[in-house]
Amino acid sequence: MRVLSILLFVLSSSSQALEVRVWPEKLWVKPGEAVVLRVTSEPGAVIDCRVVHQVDTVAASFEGMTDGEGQASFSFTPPADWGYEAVVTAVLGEARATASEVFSCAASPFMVAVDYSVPEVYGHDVLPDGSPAPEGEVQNPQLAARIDQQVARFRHQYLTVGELMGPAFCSFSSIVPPVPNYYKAAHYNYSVNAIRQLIRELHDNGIATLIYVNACASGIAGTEFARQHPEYLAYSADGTPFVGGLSLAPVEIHQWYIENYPDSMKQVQGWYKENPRPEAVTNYKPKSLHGGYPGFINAWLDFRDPKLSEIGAEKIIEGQEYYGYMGVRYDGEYRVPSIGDPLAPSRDFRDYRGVKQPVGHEAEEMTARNLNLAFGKMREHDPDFLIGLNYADFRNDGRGAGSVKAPVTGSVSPGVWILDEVAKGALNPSHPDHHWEDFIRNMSEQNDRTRQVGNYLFAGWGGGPGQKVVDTRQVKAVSWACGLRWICGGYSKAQWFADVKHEYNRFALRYSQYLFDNRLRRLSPEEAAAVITVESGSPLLWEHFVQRLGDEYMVVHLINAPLEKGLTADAQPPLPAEGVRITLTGGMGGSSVKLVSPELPVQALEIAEGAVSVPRIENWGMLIVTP
Amino acid sequence: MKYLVLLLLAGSVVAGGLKVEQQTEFIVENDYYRLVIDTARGGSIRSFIYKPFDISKDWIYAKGGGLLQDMIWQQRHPGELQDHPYEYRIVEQSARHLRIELWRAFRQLPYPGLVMRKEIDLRADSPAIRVRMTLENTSEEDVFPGAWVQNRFFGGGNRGVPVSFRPSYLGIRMSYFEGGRGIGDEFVRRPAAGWAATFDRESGAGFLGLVDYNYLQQHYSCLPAYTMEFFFDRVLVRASQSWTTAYMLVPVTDMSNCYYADERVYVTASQAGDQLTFAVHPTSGTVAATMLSVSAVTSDRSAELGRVSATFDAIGAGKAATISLTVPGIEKQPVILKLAVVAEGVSGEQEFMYYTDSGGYHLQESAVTYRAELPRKVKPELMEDRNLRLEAKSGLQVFYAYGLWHDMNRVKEALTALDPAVVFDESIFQTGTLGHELTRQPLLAEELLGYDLVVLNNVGAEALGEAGEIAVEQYVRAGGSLLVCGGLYSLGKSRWHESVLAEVLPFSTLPFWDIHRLPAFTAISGVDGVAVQWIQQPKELRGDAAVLLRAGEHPLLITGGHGRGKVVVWLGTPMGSPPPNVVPYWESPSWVPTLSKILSQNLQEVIR
Repeated sequence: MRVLSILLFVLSSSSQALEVRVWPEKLWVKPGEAVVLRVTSEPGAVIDCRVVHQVDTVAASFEGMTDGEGQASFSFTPPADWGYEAVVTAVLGEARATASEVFSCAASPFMVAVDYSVPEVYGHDVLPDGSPAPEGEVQNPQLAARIDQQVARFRHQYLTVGELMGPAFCSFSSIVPPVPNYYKAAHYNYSVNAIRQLIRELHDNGIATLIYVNACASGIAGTEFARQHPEYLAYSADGTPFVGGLSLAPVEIHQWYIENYPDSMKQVQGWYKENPRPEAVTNYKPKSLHGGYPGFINAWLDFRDPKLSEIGAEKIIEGQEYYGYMGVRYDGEYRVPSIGDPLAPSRDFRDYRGVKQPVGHEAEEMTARNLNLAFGKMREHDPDFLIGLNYADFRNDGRGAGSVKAPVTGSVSPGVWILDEVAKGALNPSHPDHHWEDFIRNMSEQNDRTRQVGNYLFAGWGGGPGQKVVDTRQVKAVSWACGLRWICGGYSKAQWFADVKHEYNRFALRYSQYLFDNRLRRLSPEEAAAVITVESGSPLLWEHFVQRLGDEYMVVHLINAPLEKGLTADAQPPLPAEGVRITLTGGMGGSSVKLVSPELPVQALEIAEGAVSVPRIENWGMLIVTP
Repeated sequence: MKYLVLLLLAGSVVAGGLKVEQQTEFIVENDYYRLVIDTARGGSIRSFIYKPFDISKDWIYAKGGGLLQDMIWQQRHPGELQDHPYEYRIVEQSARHLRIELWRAFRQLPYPGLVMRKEIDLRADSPAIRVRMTLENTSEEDVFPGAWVQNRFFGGGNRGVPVSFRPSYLGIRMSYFEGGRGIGDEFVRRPAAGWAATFDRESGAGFLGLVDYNYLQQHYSCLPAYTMEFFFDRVLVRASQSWTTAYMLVPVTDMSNCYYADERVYVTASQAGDQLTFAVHPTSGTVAATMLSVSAVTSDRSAELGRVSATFDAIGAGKAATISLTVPGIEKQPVILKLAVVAEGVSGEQEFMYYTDSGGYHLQESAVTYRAELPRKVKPELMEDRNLRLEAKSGLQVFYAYGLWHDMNRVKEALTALDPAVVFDESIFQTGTLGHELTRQPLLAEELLGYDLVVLNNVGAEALGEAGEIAVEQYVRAGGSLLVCGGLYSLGKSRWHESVLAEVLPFSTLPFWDIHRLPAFTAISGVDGVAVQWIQQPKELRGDAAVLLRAGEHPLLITGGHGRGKVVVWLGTPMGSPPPNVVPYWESPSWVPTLSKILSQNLQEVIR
């Protein structure tokens, strides 16, 4: 054994090089806010730290030495918006090591949100004896570890926004739960301690938090709200409330749990201990706590009375005070007619007298009024309050939907996150975005209009367990080139993007200004052809991906064209493009051209006779052309 | 001369070392179609080629496609029958006729031992697929299953744009799925007639389905998956007995809509300006002597806009006879049309709201006021007259069906005050995809005869189901006592007016919109300092009705009788948010004694 130990030591020693790591304390900061850059290496290492932004502009340089713990830190206040990269070199004697990490600065985390996810930290904060932990730091070690894992995941995937599901599924009952460890049915059993700690830790890491809100009445408190205000319910054509369901069987045990808390919690913990596999036990009591919503699930509401929107906003503000989140993401807003699709005739909503809800422009005006009222209240309370809507407002389905929805679009601008959930079915062959050509056109046009009013476009991605697109790099590159961000990570059923999240998301955050700046104007293919031509040995997508920021710069995305016509599961990735030649015309000939790519180091390309050559595009590259 | 060709590769033949395995498919061919019945896969039709349309296109898609796919909706989709082997026997086979019977027993809950049996009837001279479906109860207990038949196909063999036309209480409902988006209803609840059509918009090819309206619970079309499905009512199948219904599928081509259908003819319509043209098509083969009349009235029924009628001697297969009607203003506003058909001596009617633009806003706008009068279903097996007698038991026994906010009416407290040992057998109301239900539905009046009282506390006729409605009616008629409490799921909001229970109450009910909000919380007469704001309103009191409590002029507590039984109805609801100085009835200490006293006085014959 002694021989083996010596051998291991020798191997370790001989392979051990100087290591250095740089860690921005925050992934995202607001303008004027400093980022602390923490450097870790060997004690006594000489540290050189350069902070780079734009393509390769050095924004700041720092020098120093690590302390006896091998630590050094620098404080940096970004001079402008968008992505930064801290590049650190450590020197110790003859040894030398380099590392880098990216972070961002923006007035809104939506600006630099390359993706989006849901940190799931469900479970109760229980002490070993089954009693609830006191208010404060999470005591349940499993829960605490889960929070740490989620924060680490967000950092690893460079996500600047997280959405919390559960507490505000219904925003008309109080978002403040009746007891600190609460069952909201389904899998939304959560603890206030955990939610608060998660929010706090995400914020400490420069990650914004939104609370998911469904503009319906659900659960015990939502059902009680409906009882007190049946005038606010939306009714079906048969005179009954328009609901996703009504389940009274679990009400009793939920009420018992609340009324007898914390003893009830202890008792429930005991049941679990007796039956560690409760799903196998018929009529097992905790099943009702975990099962369907007690009372209404998604009782839709009639928002003709603006008072209802104000109530919703007040509850969200109350919840912000209680939990500390930064904003809200609506899954269905205070819409007239109720949150169903205004174009779908099956959504026949009435009030309790049978008087129908309006549709069309009148309805959109009411919706706009409601959102103005609610958002005004929230922003009055917190000027930086973040707002997201699930609202594919710019989809043109041939019925003039865009124009019908114009009042709402106007009312929510600027600064709002717009989610197009319709896009999530793009793998379906009959989906309007299924073909890459349609996807690019639809998303680019939608993004153009979203940008014009100062909002941010995101798309929801579905996908069941096991569903994969082999080359997710393609989806990401094309989407970002369209200005679209996907919401795809974090839900347990949509984890398949994770394989490229790290490298691609890092790249997108670093160069976010060339992807997501709302001032970028997309050139039509004809306009693009007037300033640039691209030749390649294999097909490249670029014509729809030429964008300009006035006279400052032009961005050209070069993406290897997919082999399949449609977004297809298990599609083969295209081969790298080689021998790419780009000719600049229309006054762009004397420019500086730089190539950035997640697969390649930054390259300044030499212009010869108005043209540049790119030897190889692995999958995606961006040309930054500066006149 | 038309012949039916049947190919069955059967048996296990060994010839010179060549072994042929047992085949499970029947390939059946006539001038209209070539189809394959796969006995090993749910006894379903797994291939269907319609010769008049395109002999190269199979309408059944590969994954999951098939006609006549059986289930009961008490099991989760796809249930335990689809894709499983059915036993079979040839009932009749000739050059002109094939009848094949297929069956499989359920092995899983809730009805192990129930047998799904279907007889597929195919004829040389007809494109129709006729089915007699039987649920056979081999157990020793009564069961209450609801059949569910799925037909999954591409109309004409093309994915295209699937369109459905189905009749409901809101009129003829059109749905389609285009560009990844569904427009219109998937479920059409409360069907108004026993037909449905699903077809491809471009080619007009698809199926017309015909079922017995008396047992049709709802239509369903999952258009992304191109289905036409029938949910049948739950039916009472006594031990060792069976229930049988018939349905048929008819392939169609050139269909662009459908406004009427029966076994003899179906009717489509087209519009040019303000002229409507109706085409009468034979459903299956030639139809003799047919009369079609069409009338149009304004959407508020205030004026007749036109009327036309024609008689046709015979309409050949694949042909259509037409009549036209000019309806002034139809391009700008919806009108109510009524079709009356007499074909080969059998008559039928269909009324609906007609929209020039049947998609989008127009449908939603005008669907507001229109309601079709639904024919009452006839179910002889439930309606038989039996000599029912209440069973005497000691102590108060209550069948307590409860719904939303039931506890706030404090009925249990009032009954417990009458008998501290009262026994409540509970049944809980719930709603979901398939509508209103109780966790325990009485199927026969005999199940209720041992109860002193049946309480429907914010639970309506809809949730009881037709068997339950009939059971409760028969129970009360036999001398039972019934307490009904109002609410968002009770009385007019529960199809009560269309139910046999309509006869039980001491008043008639308003359909759908009978909840009334008083301007403020209003004192309840006869109960000190107690108020209510949200109440349910009766349409008209019957002669024997006695109003015991009121809120202002509004009746709140009404008693009456039905047969030998007694009925008490509480029309108050525990809804609303009272101002601080007002005590709502549900919070008042005087409410429970009041209710207790009323129940005691009015239900005393049975509450011993």
